[in-house]
Amino acid sequence: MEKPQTIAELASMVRDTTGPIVPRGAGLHQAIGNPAHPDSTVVDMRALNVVSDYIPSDLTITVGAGMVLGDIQDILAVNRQWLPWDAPQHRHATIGGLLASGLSGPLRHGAGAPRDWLLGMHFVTGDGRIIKSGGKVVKNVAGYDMHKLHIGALGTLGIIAEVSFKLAPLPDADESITITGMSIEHAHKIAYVLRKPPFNPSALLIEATPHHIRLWARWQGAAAAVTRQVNIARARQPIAKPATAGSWDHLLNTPFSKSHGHAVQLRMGCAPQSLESFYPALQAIAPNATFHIMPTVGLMRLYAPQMPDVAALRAALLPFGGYVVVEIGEDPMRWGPVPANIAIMHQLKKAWDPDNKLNPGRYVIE
Amino acid sequence: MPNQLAPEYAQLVHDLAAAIGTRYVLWRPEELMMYEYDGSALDMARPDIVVVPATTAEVAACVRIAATAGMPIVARGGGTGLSGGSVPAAGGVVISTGRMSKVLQVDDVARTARVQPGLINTDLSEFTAPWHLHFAPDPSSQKASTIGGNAAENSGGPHCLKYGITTSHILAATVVLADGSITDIDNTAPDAPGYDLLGVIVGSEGTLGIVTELTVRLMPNPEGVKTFLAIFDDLDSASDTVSAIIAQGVIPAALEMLEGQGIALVEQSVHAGYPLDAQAVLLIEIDGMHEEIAAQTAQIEHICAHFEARELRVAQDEEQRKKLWSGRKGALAACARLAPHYHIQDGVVPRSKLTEILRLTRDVAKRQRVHIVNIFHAGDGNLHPLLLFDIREEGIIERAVAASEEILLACVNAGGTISGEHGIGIEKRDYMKWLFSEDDLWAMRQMRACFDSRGVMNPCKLIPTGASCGDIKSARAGAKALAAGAWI
Repeated sequence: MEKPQTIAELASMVRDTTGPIVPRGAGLHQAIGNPAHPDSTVVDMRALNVVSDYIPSDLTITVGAGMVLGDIQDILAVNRQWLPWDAPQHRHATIGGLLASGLSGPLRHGAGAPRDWLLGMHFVTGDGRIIKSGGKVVKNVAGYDMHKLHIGALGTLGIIAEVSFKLAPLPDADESITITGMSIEHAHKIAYVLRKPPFNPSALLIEATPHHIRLWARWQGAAAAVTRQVNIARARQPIAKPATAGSWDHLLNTPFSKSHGHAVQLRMGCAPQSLESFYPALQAIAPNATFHIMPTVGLMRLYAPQMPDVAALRAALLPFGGYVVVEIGEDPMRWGPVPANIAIMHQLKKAWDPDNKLNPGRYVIE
Repeated sequence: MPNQLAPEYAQLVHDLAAAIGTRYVLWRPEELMMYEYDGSALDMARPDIVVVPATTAEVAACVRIAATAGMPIVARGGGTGLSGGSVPAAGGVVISTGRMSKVLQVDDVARTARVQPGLINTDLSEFTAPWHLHFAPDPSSQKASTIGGNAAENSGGPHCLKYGITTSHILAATVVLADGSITDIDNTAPDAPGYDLLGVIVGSEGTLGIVTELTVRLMPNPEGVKTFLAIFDDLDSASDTVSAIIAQGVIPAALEMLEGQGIALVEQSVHAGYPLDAQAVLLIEIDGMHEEIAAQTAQIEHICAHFEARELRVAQDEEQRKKLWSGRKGALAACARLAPHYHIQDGVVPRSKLTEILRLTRDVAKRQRVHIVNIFHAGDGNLHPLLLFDIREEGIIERAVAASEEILLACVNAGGTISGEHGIGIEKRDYMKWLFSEDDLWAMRQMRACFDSRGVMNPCKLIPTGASCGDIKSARAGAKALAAGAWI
């Protein structure tokens, strides 16, 4: 295990290593994707944990990739700021690891994806070059947005070393409700009602387990505006119950808790308008699974003790332009059909990692 | 001028005409003149041929034919760009998207629209108005610039302060690659496996391929909008107000500044009600839910009073709001009253450095004896120093370029960048080295080659390329006059 203290050390370590390299943050999401090459050198990124630039009045921050997301949020909260990104296990996971794993949560409905907040990056290529992409200011069109290529790429295109983000003011109020006891289709319909003006929610999630189906909705912003929305929602849905901000963390983290014992994690996506027609098949194919569905984003995760019939899920989702990825669990068809433009992706991998050192075989791009 | 086709292009024109029809292949000098410039003032180059295809298949056919003949290929939308992105620096074939301007589909459930690249920006939001949805990116050129061009340049606009720049609003693109193949780069299903190629296509200034269809995100219209005009007797107070608004956690929908001579020029031209003797005015727009607007109004009133604004006006109705905005959006053209020629920059600084950089701008203007008016996106720290001059004055172009370079370099040294929304194009290509190392530029060149190994798509743009593209400054044909239709 290597533990570089600076980006320069990371780069020279990559240059000097001849075999495969696995970048690793807190190690919480190493199970995602194909298994790492057995002869890999693991690079522990957690020493790159410095805030290199944070001027609160600029509403931007630059941090080492080894910093824990929750620690960054703590620093920001002092100035009533935050990064509106609710990734699972954010109290322990590093920002570089979360970016590389492509993890985010239900705040995507209102705040967009981490991609929309990421301003720039330093990454290290397979031949040990330190590359800068983007910058630190909120608007910047100088050069290609190469930093976006590393999100969800499992460290195969470069090692994320330092990242700059734009920030948001912490909302004055943060209120949530849950509604339990309906079909997924009905929960979906309510979610869409709760999205229509006057509603402007920050997050919407359908949690479907073998035991219950529950819709979660969250509003953040000026206190009076949040109160009005929650009041209207509760008047229209008398069975709605209030929920705390902490319950969203709990919800996101539960599938990762040891006691939960979920051996399988699937990511599924399709254009949000197509989701509704997909729900009946979803439950029929995987009756023992727990689903987290972001109905307005078009993103779902499935957690289950055993592998469901992935081929059947694909057969139901692919006609709508969707996909199914086996994030955790054994499956020979982990990624599904070969992505369009795989040839360009292969060339890119070859250009930036000519000796195929960075997490070889881990991702859909070999 | 000869009205004869150069013999070396006869076969090419014949093949292009066979693919898309004779009337859509332009080659006579008088036809080509319109395509030799864009909204940037200093760079001009004439294409050899212009084609105006109507479909993705026709674009692909044109690209195949042009690439086979070894011709550079340059896409062009509304021609309003401000960095020379659509100027055919190395000649070649210009592909105009002028006949591809339709809205193909609106999905009010998904809140998306599928459009052709030649669609004018404002036409989309007008089209989607019945659904109470709009396309958020609103470059000041929006009445003339196209969605395809906005995507190529990753355009901004006043409202991207709150809603983000174009890249966050593009969900999918059909792209014709350099070999004439057609591919869909689609993020409508979020987080699909594979690298995020759409992330690099948007903002690639036509160097990776030509976008022939786009799926864009539509935003719900806000419940309410409130627009303020804050008037200041002192530039520092105005820029301190901007920094304070952001620092106190108010993200307005837009936060724009006009300063110095620009105010009087705009007022005389547009009659938006700006006081002629003000040193700086801020146009502040907030939107959202009524309660949010009420809370933010109180904060803005407090901050403006603290920094001793002379007056804080509120637009009482939509007509007054449009009037206040007309001053901002018509600002560049209004400045023609001061001098006939212009050069516009697009640097960005961290927002806490605004006061400092505006002072420097005034200092540079005095030293280089150039009029500089700042009309810009203050909330983003995105400056638009507008250099105004008359090219008949000896040495003025050199002084203007020197002034512009000094300001841009100061932006970089303050931790900012050389372009916030106008793109690099030809104009800022050589300044990329101020920001990026040789290794950074190597990574960009490598990436570009993965899409276009022969370098036929918009060559000589964005990345410093060395000798083959010649020296920009010597290629500059001289500034052109400010036209009525020019925007920043």
